[in-house]
Amino acid sequence: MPSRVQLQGFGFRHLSRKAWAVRDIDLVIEAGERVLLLGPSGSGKSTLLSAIGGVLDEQSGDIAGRVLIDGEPPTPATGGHGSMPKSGIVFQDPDSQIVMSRCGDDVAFGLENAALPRDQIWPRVDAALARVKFGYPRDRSTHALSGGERQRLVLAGVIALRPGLLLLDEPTANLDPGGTDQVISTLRDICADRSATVIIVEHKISAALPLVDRIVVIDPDGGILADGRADEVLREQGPYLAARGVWIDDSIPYVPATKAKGTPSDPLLIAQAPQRRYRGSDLLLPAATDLTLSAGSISALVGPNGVGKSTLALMLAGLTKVEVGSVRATAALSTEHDRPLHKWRADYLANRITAVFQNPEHQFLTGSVREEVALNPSRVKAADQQSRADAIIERLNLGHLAEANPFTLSGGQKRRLSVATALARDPTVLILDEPTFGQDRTTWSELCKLFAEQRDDGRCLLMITHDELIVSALADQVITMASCNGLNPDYPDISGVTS
Amino acid sequence: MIGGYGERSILRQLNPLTAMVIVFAVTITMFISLDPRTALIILVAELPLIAVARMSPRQWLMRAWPLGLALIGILLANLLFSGYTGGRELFDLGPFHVTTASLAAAIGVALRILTLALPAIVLFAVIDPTDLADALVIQWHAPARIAVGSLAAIRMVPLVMSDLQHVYLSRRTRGIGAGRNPVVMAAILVRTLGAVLVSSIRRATRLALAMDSRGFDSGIARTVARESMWRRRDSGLVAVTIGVCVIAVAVSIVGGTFRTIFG
Repeated sequence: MPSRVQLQGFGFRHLSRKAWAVRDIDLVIEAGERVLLLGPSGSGKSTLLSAIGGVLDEQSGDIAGRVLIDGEPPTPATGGHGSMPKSGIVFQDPDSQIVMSRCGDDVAFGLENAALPRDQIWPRVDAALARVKFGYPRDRSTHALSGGERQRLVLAGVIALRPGLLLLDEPTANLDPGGTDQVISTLRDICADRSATVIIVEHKISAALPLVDRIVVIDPDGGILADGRADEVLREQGPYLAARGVWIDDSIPYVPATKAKGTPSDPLLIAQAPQRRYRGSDLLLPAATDLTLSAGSISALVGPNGVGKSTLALMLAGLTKVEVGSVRATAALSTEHDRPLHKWRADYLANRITAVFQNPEHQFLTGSVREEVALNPSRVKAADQQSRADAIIERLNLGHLAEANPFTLSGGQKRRLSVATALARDPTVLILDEPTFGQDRTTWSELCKLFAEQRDDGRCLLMITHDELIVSALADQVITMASCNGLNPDYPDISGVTS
Repeated sequence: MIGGYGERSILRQLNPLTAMVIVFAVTITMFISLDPRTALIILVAELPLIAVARMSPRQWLMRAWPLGLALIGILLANLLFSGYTGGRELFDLGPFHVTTASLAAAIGVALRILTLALPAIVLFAVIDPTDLADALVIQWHAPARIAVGSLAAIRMVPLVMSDLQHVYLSRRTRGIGAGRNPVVMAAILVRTLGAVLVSSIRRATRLALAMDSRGFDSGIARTVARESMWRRRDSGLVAVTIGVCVIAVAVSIVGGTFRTIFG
């Protein structure tokens, strides 16, 4: 039975913050409705979803108002209260949701918790796997799946429980276009029969639109910005919402004026088919790729997950050894251009080449946003450093969070912070892994502007991205990588650093 | 880490608890008896394990190198520094004095370690962690919280290893590196481990949340989707193991060479 969701004056504030993450939300979602939840970066979409799912940690902040599922507070997920949660939640990162090492066992996990007898479990598992069009046998290892497959497995584990309420928090985050299509088409099938009320948070709006009836837009200043039938909201309030930073379509919100097309300048890094052995095997990754990164240019590295884009980026960034082939710095970049990059001293390297990784949390070193951005013992003088840091923080709409702990930021804010730290250091070559992930229209445009300014200042940028908008807005050079033979191209993209 | 090796091994068809009992029985026996004869008899009985494990030489290397290293260390230490001075002198160089008696003592200790470690290496390489957790819950009524929680933790090991690497590289790309200074290197290692601890806890929290949202530990008595059978061959193998251990100790006692840590 689909559930009815009611929010009455709901609000939540993190313990360490003065401002509410989300507040004054009054909303009724009828049983069987399918709602797309939108809002600018940091407007509290994930927080709201967690509250509805009963997984919001009440210890971590103040709660105002009420959440009711079918007239009752959501079953809290923790503590032995003797009943199953009514809602099923799919979070962004499948790796933090898969429990078991075999796929079938993972889908069975929830059914075991629901105390289903053994002979009923396996038919339900097979049915759930079939609904997500999972093509492998039950005993397939959960480590041997692509991102899209892992997310569909998580979905199977959730729908096997037949929840009345399905909550999806950016289920296609970090998936390549192929994986996104897989997950969206699976969701379309699952949502079709209205056996569950569905609330989905998703930035890829054109992908999510066919899944929903209704759009609700959260106002970061409290309350609701827009609410109504999906097509009507977009038609009538589209421009207004776009101005507030909400993605309303897949058009490019901002294209920088100068695009240095066809004017090659000084090469800085020259890569000749650099490769590494894949996990100590004889297989070399990525497929042989030659590329030249020049001053005053932006390059984009695109291709499906698992082909070795990150591996290539790590070699270009001087972070891992090149085992076959070469990556050379030119004299324009460094006087030490005869030494391999991975042997450069860390601070020397970071002043010339800096990388921003996919998971921003790995890169945080301090306790506040301001310290994080100002922390760059670089060429810039100390006083300039702080003002430069403050300017970047302000431009990336993190000013109101300057004192906040980096780990308490929203996904999109964390991403901007990690990019800000790299921009503040002002390296000659900047390598960015998914720099626009989780951004709203406004912050996306600001990042785009900042990157264009860097290029105009003669810096060199390399983006690894699935974001086709940023590629068409900025890239002077697009390097498309395909899978190399012998390797399962679907294998999780953690290859480069495990050796 | 356990599991993952010897996928075609017949040992996989045993109940994982049988493996636990075998390892436990051999350990107890090696504690009771210090006589190399006991160890030798049991070791000979263990040899078939090597054949039925169906592990590749590479897998053996991965699993057994710490044991090999330990054996060499123990052999040398006992050879050179043990108090045994009887027997014929083999080697004398300053403080190092090796005789047939000290050689015998060293071989005796190494033999016991090898006997102890062999079944543990083979069985823990081959048994499947999921099967072990199921057996613990079904046969020994272990709490699911602990058994399933441990399984989830095992699944996260490779993810944490990759976190470790990413955190280290993140620091380097932000200009924080050790160069060749060992003190700085140690300090960075400590901070890197701290950061990995933070990211592991965050990962674990998210996983726990996802498990809870699927009804884990909700107070309902949980079922187990997979069967875990204790078969006649399990009872048989346990009986054989205990039999071999008893015989090995008996031979030692009858032969008059029995020594024990308890006397």
